Parts: sequence; structure tokens; C-alpha cells
Amino acid sequence: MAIALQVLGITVQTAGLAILYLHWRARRGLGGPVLFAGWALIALGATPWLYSVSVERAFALAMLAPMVAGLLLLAPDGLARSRPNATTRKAKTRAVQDAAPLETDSHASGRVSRDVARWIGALVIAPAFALAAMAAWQAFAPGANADRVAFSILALMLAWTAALLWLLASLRPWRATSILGIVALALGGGAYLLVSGGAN
Amino acid sequence: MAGAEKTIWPRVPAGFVKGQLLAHKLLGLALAAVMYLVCVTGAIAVFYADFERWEQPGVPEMTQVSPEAVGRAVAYARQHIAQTGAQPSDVYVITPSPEMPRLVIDYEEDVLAFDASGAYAGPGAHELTHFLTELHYALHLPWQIGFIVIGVLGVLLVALIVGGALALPRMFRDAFTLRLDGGRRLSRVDIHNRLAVWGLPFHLLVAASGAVMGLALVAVGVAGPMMFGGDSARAMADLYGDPAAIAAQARQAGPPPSMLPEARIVTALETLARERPDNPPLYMALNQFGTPDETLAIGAGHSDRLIYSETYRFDSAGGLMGADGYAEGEAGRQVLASMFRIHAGAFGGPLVKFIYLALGLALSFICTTGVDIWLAKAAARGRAHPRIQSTWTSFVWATPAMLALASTLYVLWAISPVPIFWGGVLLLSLAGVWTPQHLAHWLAPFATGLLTLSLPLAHAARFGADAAAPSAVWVNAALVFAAALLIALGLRNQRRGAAAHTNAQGAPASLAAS
Repeated sequence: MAIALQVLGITVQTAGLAILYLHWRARRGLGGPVLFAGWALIALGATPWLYSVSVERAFALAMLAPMVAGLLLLAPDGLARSRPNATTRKAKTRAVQDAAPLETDSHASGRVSRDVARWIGALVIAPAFALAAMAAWQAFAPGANADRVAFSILALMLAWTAALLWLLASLRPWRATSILGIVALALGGGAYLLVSGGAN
Repeated sequence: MAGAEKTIWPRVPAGFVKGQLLAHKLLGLALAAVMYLVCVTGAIAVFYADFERWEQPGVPEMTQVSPEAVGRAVAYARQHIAQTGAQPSDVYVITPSPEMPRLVIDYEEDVLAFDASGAYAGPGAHELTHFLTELHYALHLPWQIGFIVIGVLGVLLVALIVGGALALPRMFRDAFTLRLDGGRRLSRVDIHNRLAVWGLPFHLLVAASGAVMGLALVAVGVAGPMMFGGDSARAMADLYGDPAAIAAQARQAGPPPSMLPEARIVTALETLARERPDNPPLYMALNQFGTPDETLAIGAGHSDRLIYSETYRFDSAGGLMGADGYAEGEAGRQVLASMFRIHAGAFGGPLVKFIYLALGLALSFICTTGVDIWLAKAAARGRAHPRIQSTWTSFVWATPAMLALASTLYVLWAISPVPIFWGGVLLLSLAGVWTPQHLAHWLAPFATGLLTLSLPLAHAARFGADAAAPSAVWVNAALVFAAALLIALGLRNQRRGAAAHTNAQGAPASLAAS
């Protein structure tokens, strides 16, 4: 029974992906309802897993099937294009456009300074900000001790990711670095001072 | 969808995309080499249990073992440890399970294997697997430092994945596009993006779970001042239990009811089988071994959960005292206990492990193509870096090649694999500076294939008929298969390179360069 449910789940999810693929192949698409049906089948395909194994394992297993099916559905386009003079219909090739350089010549002056800011931000400020977020979470988040410690790692991860992406993408990295540094100091220092002062 | 002019997806501002592309490029180029190293070793290490069995193919295997046999094995180990003068603080008894169908006792200095009756059957050490796994989770650094470094790399990989996804506003619209006919650069871009998009949930989960495991130490370190008034020991005791209190509680039960060797362990296993019939033991931990405070904990599997195991603690008479709460305790405990199985793909049998291998190798390939794309774009702008290109190619292939060579030398002559691996990777990468790319392009996979082939041959030479034992034959067959693929890839690259060279000689220079 478990195997049958799992096969059913994989089949339904693959069918959903196949619909998305057909929608993508059609020059004008197959319409919104078809697109919705594809996504709905991918979601619905997860439900047989829930009856087959526990919720958390079902969720993990149900995520793998569409990934594999999606990768396999890359084959038709790849193979069609790799065959010379292929008559198979393949997706319309869009003109390849390079992303314009972010820092154009008008921004060339000060590039070294911005790079220095990015290095300082990435190596010092972003980790400091992330640690401050972890400390603040542990100090102030509600819940049992184990929850506060465990979820503080997720807080650190989110803070570090957001900080890195912001300051590396910023055209004004000194400003981003300064703001993050001040926030890190306020967050971490404030949490520590309040905790050591008996607030916790 | 390709031709559809209208889209349901919201438009992402071009400036934001460009910013994220810049962030993705800076992070990716800074981390590509170490990320590749971690990803490729992680993909292989998914099969760590199979490698452990392959490494000692003659060790007896069994589906289950009686509590009395475990007691006899522990009694032997206790005597052996006393005779050798070793003083391990913790001793682990690995009991047979579907993933590791062996009875093994593991402590810091040695690993002992036993048969189904609990009689000593020989050494059970698997140093080569440790070499691989420690490279993955600690880069062979001292483990506390290495763990944290890898945890930080996990966070940075999350940033790379999120940044990469934000830099792809056409993620869904281009989901099935694979322009292999678009030249080297465009095909690399498409392979990089499609592998990244379809593997996104896997890559994100693997990166985040690795980060959580690696940074747990940091979290406990921060918890000392933030939650326990600067007392780190109190933090450890609150989260993982106070060893002295557990020992004091365990002692209250008095001696075990039976006179069998290691009666406490025998009774504890019987108690677990009676009270938790659906949770078979995976391992036993004897903490503070050989001291009056020695305590017994059994890690038992929960097949319907993602947690690695629940830790059940037993008193001195073998009675069940309680559980650490990984199965039914606070959410945070359950989340932390689930990270390993999510990270290693140990929750759905061999099929899930093969999918993890494929997606892990895809992530490694994403690392290599990322650098390739940058090099190709630089070349298109008239700033080619041929030495960096050939060095990168050499490094990428030197990693699996040196894994194979170091393993072969260890299997044959027990030569320490760590210096061979790191020295080899360094030398070969440096050699890439002076190696023409067209040569590295075919010679590197070809040589890697030959070195990979040498490993099962060395295994057969050392273990003879045991190399064909069920515990080893599949790993050896997989190694031969991988070697054949790599050799074929090298020969294909050589043919294509030769054909391109011939065409270039008969074509105008501008066309040949393209």
C-alpha cells in the first residue's frame, strides 16, 4: 500500500510538471487554467505521501520527485538543440542579452573604495550583524531554552544572508556597511547590556 | 510559455537583478574552490555507511543481535581497553541496523568488530571513510574549528543560492530551456541556471542543515552569556543534560537483577525492546566509561521521523529513566535532531541516496560552471585569463583524482591519505598554470578515470575474495563504472579537441577563435 501511494504521488507530480512543460512549449502558452492545473497537480501529488509515511518524511520525499522529474524534462529541449538540422519543435530562442555591467565607467572612480567597503562588510560587519541577531534572539525570543538556542541559528543564517546580499549588491557599500555595523552594535550590545543588567 | 508575451510573474526591477548578479558573482568567485571541495566530497559521502562496510569487507554482518551477545562484546571491549591502557571517556556500541548491519565497538583509540554471538572478529576501523567525511565536515581542520568553518560556508552557500535565485527573474519562464546549441558560454549559463533552479529546494535544505549542524557550537557558546549568566557549563547541562546529575540518578536503582556479563546493558536492551518495540537500537553510548559515574544511553531509531534517533537513558539496573526529547520534546530539539538525515539523505533508502548523489554532483557542477561563465564572459570582453582557466580545470579534476589516489595508497600500504590529498591537489592545481587548457580538458578526466579505476583494483589486491563480498562488491562496481565514464569523457574531449584543432587550421582565424 505504501509503495502504491508513493508511486501515485510521483505520477501525479510528474503529470503536473508535464503540463507545465507543455504550457512552456506552446508558443502562446496553454492558458492560465492549464498553468494552474499543473501547479495544483504538483501540490496534490504530495498528499499520497502523507498517507504513506509521516508528515515530515512525506514532505522531504515529496520535494525530491518534482526536482528529478523537472531535470529529466530538460532533456527534450537540450537534445532537440544538440541535433543538427533537427526538425523537432523547440522553444523559441530569445536573444541573449548580457546584463549591463552594474558599475559602468561613470562609476569607475571610487571602485577601489567600494571594494574595500565590500571586503570589510563581508568579512567583519555581516558576521557581526549575524552574531548580534543570534544573541538578540536568544535573549528576547519567547519559548523554551532549547527552542531559543536552535532557532537562533536560523536567525543568524537569515541575518547573515540578508546582510551579505544587501552590501555586496549595493552601489553604496560604505553606507550599507555603516548601517549594518551600527545596527549590529545596537542589537548585540543592547541585548548583552540588558541581559547582564538582569532584564532576562 | 517561451513565446508568451504576457506573464503572470511580477516584473523584478532591473537594478535589483543587476545588484544581485554582482553579489552572486563576488560571493561565488570568492568561494568557488572551497565550496566545490565541500560539495563534491559531500555528494560522495552520502554513501558513508557503504564505504565503511567496503573498507572492512571481511567483518561479519547480521540483521540483528541478541542483548546477551552485545553484553559479551562490551565485556570483551572493557577487558581489551583495560589491557591496552586506553582511557576513553566515551565508548560507542554500534548495533546492527539496515544501514550498518554490524556489531562494532568504537572508541577514540580503536574500533573492534564482533560476530553475531558477541565474539571478537577483528579490527573494524574505517579510517578512509573518516578521511572523506572529515574533509567534508571539517576540511581536516581541528574538528571544533572545522565544524564552525563548514557551518559558516553553509550560511554563505545559502546566501549564494538565495542571491542566485533573486538574480534570475525568468526562473520559471525559462525552466525547461537548455540551449546546448548556443556556444560554450550560453550552454554553460543554461546548465548552471537549470541545475540550480530544479535543485533549488535540495540545495537550500542541504546548505541550511549543514549550517545549523556546524553552527550549533556557536549557538551554545553565545547562549552562555545571553541565557545562563555567562556560565557555559550550565548552558551545556541545560541543553544536553548534566552528566553528574544523570549519573547520580542512574545509581539510585542499584545493581542489575541478573549476573550475566554486562547485565545492565543486557537488561537495558531488553527493556527497550519491551517498552519501545517500534524503536530498534542504532547505537549505545557508555559515557564517562570505566568511572563510577559511567552512564548508559541508547540511541533508538524512529523510522517514521526525520530525527536521527531518540536518546533513551537507562539506570544502573537497566531500567528506562527517560528520553532526551529529540522525538517528542521541544520543537528546537526536534529540528536540531532532524538535520543529519535531511543533510545526508538518510530518510528514504538507497533511491533517495542516489538522488542526493546526483543533486550533490549537480551542485558541484554548478560551482565549476559558475567560474567557467565568469571566465567566458571575461574572454568575450577581451580579458581572457587562460592561466586561471587551466588552473581551475586542474583543481576541479585534481580533487576527485587525489581522493582516488590517496585512497588507493591507503588501501595498499596504509599511507596517510591527508598529506597525499592536499599535497596532490596543491601541486596539480599549480601545474595547471603551465598546462594548456586543451591538454587539461581531456587529460584531467582521463587521468582521474585511471586513478579511480586503481581503487577497486587495489581493494581486490588487498582483500582478495572479500572484495566481492556483498558489503563491497557494489562500491567496487560503482567505482569501475565511474572510472569508465571518466575515461570515456577524457577520450571524447580529446577527439573533440583534435577535431576543433583541425577545423581551426582550415578556417579563418576569426571563426576559429569563436
